[in-house]
Amino acid sequence: MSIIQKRLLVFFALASVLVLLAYDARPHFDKGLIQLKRQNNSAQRHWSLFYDQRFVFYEGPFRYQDDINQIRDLIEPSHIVLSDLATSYYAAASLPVYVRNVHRHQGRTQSSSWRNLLDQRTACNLHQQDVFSAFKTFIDVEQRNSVSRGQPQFKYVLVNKDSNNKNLRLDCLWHRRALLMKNIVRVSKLKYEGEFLNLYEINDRSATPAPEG
Amino acid sequence: MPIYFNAVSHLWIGCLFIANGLMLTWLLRSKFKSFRSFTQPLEAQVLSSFFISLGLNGLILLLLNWMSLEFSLAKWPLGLIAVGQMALLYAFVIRVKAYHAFHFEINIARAALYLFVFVVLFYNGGLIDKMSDSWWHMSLANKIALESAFSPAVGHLTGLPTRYYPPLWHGNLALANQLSGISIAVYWNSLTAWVAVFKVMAFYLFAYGISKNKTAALLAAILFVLLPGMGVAYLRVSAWPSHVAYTAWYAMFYVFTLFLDSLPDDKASLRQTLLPLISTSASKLISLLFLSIVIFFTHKAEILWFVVAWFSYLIAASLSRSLSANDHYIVARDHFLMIYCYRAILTLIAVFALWFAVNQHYPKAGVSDQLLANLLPIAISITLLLLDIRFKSKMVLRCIWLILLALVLGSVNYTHLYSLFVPELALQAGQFYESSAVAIGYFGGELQVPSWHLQLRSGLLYSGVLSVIMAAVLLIVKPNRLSILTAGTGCVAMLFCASPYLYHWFQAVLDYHSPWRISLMIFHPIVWAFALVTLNEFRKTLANSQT
Repeated sequence: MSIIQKRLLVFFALASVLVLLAYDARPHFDKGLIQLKRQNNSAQRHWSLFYDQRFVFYEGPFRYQDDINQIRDLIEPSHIVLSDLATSYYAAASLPVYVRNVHRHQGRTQSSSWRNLLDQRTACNLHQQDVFSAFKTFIDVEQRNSVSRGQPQFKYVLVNKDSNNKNLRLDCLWHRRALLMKNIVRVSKLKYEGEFLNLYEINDRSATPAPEG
Repeated sequence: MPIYFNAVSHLWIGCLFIANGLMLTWLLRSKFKSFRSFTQPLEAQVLSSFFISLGLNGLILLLLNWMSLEFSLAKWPLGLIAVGQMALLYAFVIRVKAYHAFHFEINIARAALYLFVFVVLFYNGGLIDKMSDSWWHMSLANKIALESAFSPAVGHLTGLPTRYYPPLWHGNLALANQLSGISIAVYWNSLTAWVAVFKVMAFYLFAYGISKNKTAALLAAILFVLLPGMGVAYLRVSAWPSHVAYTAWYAMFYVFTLFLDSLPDDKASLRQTLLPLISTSASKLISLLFLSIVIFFTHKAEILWFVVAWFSYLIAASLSRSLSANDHYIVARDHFLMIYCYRAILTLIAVFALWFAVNQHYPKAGVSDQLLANLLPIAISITLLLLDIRFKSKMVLRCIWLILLALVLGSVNYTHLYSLFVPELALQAGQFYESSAVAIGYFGGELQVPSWHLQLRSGLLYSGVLSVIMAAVLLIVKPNRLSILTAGTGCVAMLFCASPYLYHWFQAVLDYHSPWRISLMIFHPIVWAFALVTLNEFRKTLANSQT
């Protein structure tokens, strides 16, 4: 092989490697990819020149901090809060409470009664009388059981009223928040009404006798 | 746009995750020459500061936990340590003008890269804008903060029993939250930029340690930032405990390669090699131990990947030795200490695999794919052992090579491998996102293989998967520590992902939900950086020969 041929070969190899690397690096510089990922609810894990703190700020809990600080002073610790999926995580990460509306691999299926409640979207349809009765029975049973077993008690409902955070849209509890707020007061009292968050304290029904049979 | 809403948290990060560690690093550098030598790059000092701070904070929290005291009280011991260290720095460094403790090595290109990464990640923020596992971690940190206990009394998220998770990183987040009053979510967002820079710095050190070439290392660090890869390359996820552990993992590679550099060039005896090696490398060995502890209490799995990576290195070294046409001695490949270690580890693996197979199958009778999966590692280990013995007869050597190739290539599921490039051909995946796919073996049995969709396809195509071939080529063209390690780790990782028998065995042995993370061992930025540097050298040589 002549020197010229060798030089051409090396040049071709260098150029091929650079083209390959440039091709693989392009997602960081692709503005359209951000929109595509957002449309498909796909996480933006790689850095991008076109991604910014607005997404984090408006689709995170930062704007709720004042409400969270107020709520922290009002709630009794170590109780269970029912909320939409995203707000459940926000609450668990900033308040002394437990949540059950979580992803499957993080414990949603651990309690069959809660799994049924969430999967059947019971709390989203409280305006239907039979569903409301079932919800009330659920509260009775849960509170009674938790008291007898010494486990965290279902005591609060947290409603998120924010309309900018897209994560909230994953759950019917947010979509039907108006109905939820209207009906939940039948078994609870409004403890805090903030700019973004409303806290309801469920009436203590642990002393309600279990139905016979 | 409120991009400065988390500005104050950055000051706290500097105080809590850098300051004490940096002062201790300077003190150690003033006293120990060997520590000073390997912490000369700025990256090493920054990482040392970060990990020492994490460890120190963790130790104080552990003591407070043990004494049932509030974590917020940590401000007193931390403050005292800071003041004490300042006094010691004055006494042992400033007063005696031992300013070499403060010296560091950096150049403009590297500084610009780190600044770029920090600014972009400061601007991008952390991955908390989607409901990902980050919230699970923040929930754990929150409960640690609230209860002032490393292990919250009940499951932190649901109040129901949950698995143990190494709490060092979460404990540090809880400490920051308790001392500053700033929410954990804000810290998660802010720390993303910091840990992303630390990770790139650690990768630079790893690449530099193994290549001893600053240009190649800088290129590798740049490619690490640019190229997609397995989870480790996701810079917006940098505040997760696994990424803190990846940073320590890369730092371990750096320290370990420096330790290996202490191996004598000649064929000295075991006694002549081992004792001086240990006595001159005490600070490196202590650093390795310390980093292992940090990983163990942060994410654990990287200790396994570290061991597997160096074992893969030994396999590649042995195979390269077996294939070499001459007796040219290469320290990084042919040192007797590595040969001893390699044979000992292979024997251990063969014995363990045998014990595991007996435990799994006795007293069941009959041949099944599961049995084959359990026997394959034993057969491969024995073949590798035989290959490491240099038979004089080339025919015998060729036969053993053929057996090894048959075992390895015969265990691969080619439909699965092909489906990496053609998703439509993918094997049936499990019910959940993280579930393995199912491959049918030679006897009709079901075996697990990793679904390519688990970060693998996006991480491997195309520079990742092509780097495995390139690394093998580099191993033949230039057998040195870098090419041996990258070829060994790349081939082993790809093999375990493509072979249902090996993957099934690996998953059963580890009892770990994500053994596909073995693909982290494909260090493609280093491979491509080294390839570019080597090609450029060729180009220059050819240009010179023409003139």
